[in-house]
Amino acid sequence: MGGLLARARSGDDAAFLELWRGLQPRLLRYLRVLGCDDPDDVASETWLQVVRDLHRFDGDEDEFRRWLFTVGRNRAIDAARARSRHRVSPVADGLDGFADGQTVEEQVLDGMSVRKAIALLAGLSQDQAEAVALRVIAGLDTPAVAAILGKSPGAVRVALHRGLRVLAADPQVRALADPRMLALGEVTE
Amino acid sequence: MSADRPREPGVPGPELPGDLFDDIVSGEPGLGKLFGVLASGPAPAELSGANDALAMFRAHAQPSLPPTTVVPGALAPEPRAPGPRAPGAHASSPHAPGLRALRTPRTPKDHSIFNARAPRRLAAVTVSLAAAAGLAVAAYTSTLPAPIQHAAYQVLRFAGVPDTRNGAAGALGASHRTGHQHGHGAPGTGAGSVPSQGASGQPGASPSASGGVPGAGQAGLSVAASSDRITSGGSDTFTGQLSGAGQVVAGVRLSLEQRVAGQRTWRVAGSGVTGTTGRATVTASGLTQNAWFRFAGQVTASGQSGVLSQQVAVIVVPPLSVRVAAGPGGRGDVLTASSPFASPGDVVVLEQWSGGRWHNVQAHSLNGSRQVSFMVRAPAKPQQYRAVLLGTVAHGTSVSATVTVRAR
Repeated sequence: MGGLLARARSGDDAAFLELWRGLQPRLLRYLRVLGCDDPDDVASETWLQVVRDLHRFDGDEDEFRRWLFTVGRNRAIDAARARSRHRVSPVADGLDGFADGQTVEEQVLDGMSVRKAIALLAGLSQDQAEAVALRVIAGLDTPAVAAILGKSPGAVRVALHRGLRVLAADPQVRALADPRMLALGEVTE
Repeated sequence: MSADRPREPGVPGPELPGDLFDDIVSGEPGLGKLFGVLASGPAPAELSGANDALAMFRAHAQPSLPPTTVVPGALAPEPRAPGPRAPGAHASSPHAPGLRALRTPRTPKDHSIFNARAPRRLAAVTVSLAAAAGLAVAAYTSTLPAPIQHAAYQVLRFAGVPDTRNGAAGALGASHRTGHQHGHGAPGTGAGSVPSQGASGQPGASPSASGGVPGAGQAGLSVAASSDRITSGGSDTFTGQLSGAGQVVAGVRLSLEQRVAGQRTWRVAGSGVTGTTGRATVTASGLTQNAWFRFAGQVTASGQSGVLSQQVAVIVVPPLSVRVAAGPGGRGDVLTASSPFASPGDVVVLEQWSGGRWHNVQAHSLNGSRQVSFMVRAPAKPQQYRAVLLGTVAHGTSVSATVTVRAR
């Protein structure tokens, strides 16, 4: 991605698009775990900020990812403040959120499975969900997650550990270990 | 599993740095699969904003230009904002990594232009910039002759100048044009060629591109389903509309093609002839699996050219019922979920209503009789349950009616 970054910084729209296509899905998933009312809107705000300041960014791939998710998190916080609402996770309430609220394309393709997985994460406590999401979805290491969350690496490790234990005990996650299970993550073609 | 997919450019893999995290995940196969899904490749809906993102990039990107580069005045990037403002604005500043100090170097050209000793050169450059500005504006609005427009595109495409020679082609690869989108690029994207969603909201990356109609301009063939979610074993009605050269086309036989999700082959599910409105309606019956549908037609007198519509997806939802019976010894109750159209091995989750929301309680797979039983303790007060059949490639998620377990 380093080459892509350099090309995008020089104004190469093809490089930017490739960069965007690689990271946008993960950004959206992270924002959904945060409980954004409109993750697409927040992601758009995030990329707008990134595009405006891209010419001033001088880091590598990992730093860019960390920067993107930092901006995304802050835009999500701004959006939540603007709406004067507390964190809500509509997909975390049972299975209703993805039983009826998803597009047919998502149902047929694997987006359906991603939504279920996000719902499982969103069911954790907020610090656990964020730590796991930044670790797994954003692909960041513990120090980077700690920097984004403003916590110590030790506190992040504790949140990760507890979050993983809760997830591992979930019946749906346990069912995933069943080789007959197709519901999560199976690719149709 | 999607976790086994090759890594995509620019996408961090699902690898997890080695520490306790790894140990826990490796000891829990379910967690590994869950995280594989979370880190899997994009769903079409997740990339639907590509056009907007590209337009935003073109509008706001400030490329690092070499010092001697001259940018035509009308389309030159805006001056850099004064002061080092960290990416992410106020809230991002503390954690924004890798930021360079803001620099505003003056190029040799700058010095030569704004040199008080050369007023005549300044006037000449001003005239040149004004001419370039006019040229750029003309290019931006596609009012130049085609060869000149193409040349302008070569120079100014980063600023969104369209290319009349290549249409939507550019450095990003060709897109599929479908249905009613013939002859029109995606709105607001200049020379962008990102796969876009069609007017009916179907994924534009589908392989269905409408074929040309000799002598009649390009044809458009749309498809619409009366319902995108049906009960297993039910039927769905599809309407195709054929147009060419801006007018509807009557008297053409359209074939409704069906591809079951997870399979690659299309088969004909039925056909109909377009009427005076250009529409043909076909019903597909006995649907038991998720499937894609599209229309195909031969629209020339010679039959040499065909046209395909986009695809629409139809989700099939198996009915799911739950019954309650007293458990052995009267110490609890047995909830048995049954779904005749599901497959053995499909997972059913039992949910319990508590605290204003549904909680997952147990999960089991359907047996060979497509049933699964859950044992629950006798509650102190009436307790509500429901079952959820998780969606698979073959069918959508199904939720049963709520049942109540009485207190003992």
